[in-house]
Amino acid sequence: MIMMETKLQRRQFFCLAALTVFGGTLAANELLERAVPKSAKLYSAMDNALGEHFISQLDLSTQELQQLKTPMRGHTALALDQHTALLFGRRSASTSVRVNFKTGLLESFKSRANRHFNGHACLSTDRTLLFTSETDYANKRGIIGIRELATLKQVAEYESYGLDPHDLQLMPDGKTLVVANGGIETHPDFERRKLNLDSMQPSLVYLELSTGKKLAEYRLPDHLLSIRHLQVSAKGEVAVALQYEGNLYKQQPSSLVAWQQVGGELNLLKIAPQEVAQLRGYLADIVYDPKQQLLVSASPRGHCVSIWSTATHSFVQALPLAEASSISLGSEVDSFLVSTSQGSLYQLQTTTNQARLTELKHLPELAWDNHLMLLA
Amino acid sequence: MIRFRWQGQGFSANCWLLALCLVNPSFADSTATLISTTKDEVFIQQLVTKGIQPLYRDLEQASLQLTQASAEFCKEVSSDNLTKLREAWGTTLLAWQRTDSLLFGPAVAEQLDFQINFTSPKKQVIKGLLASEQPLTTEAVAAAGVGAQGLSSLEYVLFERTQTPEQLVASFDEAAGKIRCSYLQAVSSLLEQNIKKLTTAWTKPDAVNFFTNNQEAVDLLIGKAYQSLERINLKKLTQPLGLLDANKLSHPYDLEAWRSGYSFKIIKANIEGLQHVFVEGGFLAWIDKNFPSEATKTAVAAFEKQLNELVQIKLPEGDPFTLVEQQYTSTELNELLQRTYGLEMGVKRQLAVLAKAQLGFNDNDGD
Repeated sequence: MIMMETKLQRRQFFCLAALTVFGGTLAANELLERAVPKSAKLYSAMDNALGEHFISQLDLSTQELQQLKTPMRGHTALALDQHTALLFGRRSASTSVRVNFKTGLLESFKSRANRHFNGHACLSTDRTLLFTSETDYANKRGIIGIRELATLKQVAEYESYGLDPHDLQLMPDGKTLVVANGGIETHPDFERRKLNLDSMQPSLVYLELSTGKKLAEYRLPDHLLSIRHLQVSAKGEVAVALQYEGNLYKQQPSSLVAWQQVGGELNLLKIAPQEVAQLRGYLADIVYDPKQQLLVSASPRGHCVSIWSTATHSFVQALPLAEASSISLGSEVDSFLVSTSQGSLYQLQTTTNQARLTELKHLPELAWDNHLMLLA
Repeated sequence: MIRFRWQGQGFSANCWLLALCLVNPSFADSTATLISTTKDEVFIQQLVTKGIQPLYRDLEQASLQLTQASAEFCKEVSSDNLTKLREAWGTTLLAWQRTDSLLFGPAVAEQLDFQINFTSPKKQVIKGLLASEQPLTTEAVAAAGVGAQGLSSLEYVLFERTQTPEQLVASFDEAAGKIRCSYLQAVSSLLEQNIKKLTTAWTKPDAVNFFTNNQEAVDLLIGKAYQSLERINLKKLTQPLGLLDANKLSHPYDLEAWRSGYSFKIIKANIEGLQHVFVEGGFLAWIDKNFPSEATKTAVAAFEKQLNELVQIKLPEGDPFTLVEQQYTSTELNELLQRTYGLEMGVKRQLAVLAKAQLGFNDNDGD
């Protein structure tokens, strides 16, 4: 474990060796009620033990779980209101859906010919346009599909200026998109096979929303670090969760999180080699708490949740959690929600001198997918 | 008509035998996350020389005989030679399917696996090639892409279900038959070349260096075994049988190798290959030795027993396409379903956990 350098971190995490997944002394239901406001709902893609795919809405106050079966495995859910949500098909699905949990209605929409969805999307500030990350596999290029939210009809598309655009988010100015080009070439004929690992070139690209013009592009020194998931702060800082495509048995990545201050370079956060090894080269999701200046990431391969400080630009600690898959900010101050593909939902508290994971709910035989969206 | 019965919710005790009869290892065990750098040279040597190389040597031999059978058939187009050619094709297909749990390293480099067996074949591409006025070469077939290469493309031209064998033979003997034969021979020859590349990679003296350490061997063998079993259950059985179909419709065209009737035989071949690698390759014994506990001992013994029994089971009688199309069920089919699913769960819930292999719903192939 690396030494902590700030008072903040010492205060919060001095007892690292003792950290583990704590069982709560309160009943899970009681904790759940305390953890969330009355109307909070959690959205995610899920699979059951039979391999069927769903979009799920978990009402955190009543604990009522609603699930609608979907024709594809989804990746990210985007809640539009208390009843309606979008779920975007995971690479290499050509289908995404809009669902209404009140009516049970499911409406599919497709990518254009020779394109597939890559699992992520964002809305324009006025919530009239939907931007989806897609791949034009016939021409080996990344695409940002643009659809009217009301009709879901595609009205335009932009190039992403890289292969394999994955996560994309709207910057706080409302005029700029930031796109994580993972850099990996795939083709549906070859299922999910990665075809260009030797030559992959991931990039973080900023696009002008109104024209699609490339405003800036950033790369990391190691081309095997796939830039995949993003978290944009209200100030316009960007956190990047990475996935290493090299052979982990021979070489570990130098880090798995990058951070870009407004107007600054894209820099890797520091982590010791023995610490990065436990993450198994793969971060599935990332979230930022600006108050604590902490990034928290789920690492299903490393069976842990990792915490990073943007104040010190370094890794802080990892908490063991089997198959941690997705993460969102919690409703309580200094809290996060973490799900696992073993069906559990945890609350992560980082306010005390120990970061603490407490199980809130367990859904047997259900697997949470890699992203959570909390609609409070 | 007896319809398939969905077994998913109500799997019998037999189905869950492997998955649930054992001590359930805690997932906390899987949180030991640092990669071990130890390499057991004796184990890796046995794995490669006794577990992996024999499967590829058999495949290479089969593909050589397939090329010869193609040449014989085109030299003398006859029903007898078609039968021999089909048998040679079947032998090669089954030999390939025995390597299904070895889809890593050389097999996936340059997408060799897709060049050897890409399903479903791209019919329009093949028809385009067959419309050529010049005899086809291996270069022309290679340039047409994986959809016109390999075992499933050969199946397409050798097992046309709308034609009798006599009509099929005639199609190779007519004016256009020369082009058809040139395609057959080019595909067979290219297939043999690709298989030779693969066999050479695994049989060269330094092949043991492919595995960097024990952890890589564990992760690959268990991960790929799981993916192979998952393919069996989801793609080769559940999907074509329509077991998750809301309208309870079966999908016989989703069966792999439906044209030739090998759809169930390939599943057995998948298991035979898995058994060979895990037992003859010494992998189960190595797990037993290196993760000593009662749970490991029980799991390893149960897994080996399941493998041995599964390779002995009687397959459903009759043509798989017809059985699935007409939704006939049988004791044999239910047993195949239950046992392969039990084996998949055994890998996921027992072996992967006990051997600390990297496996899971969300991390299996990344996103």
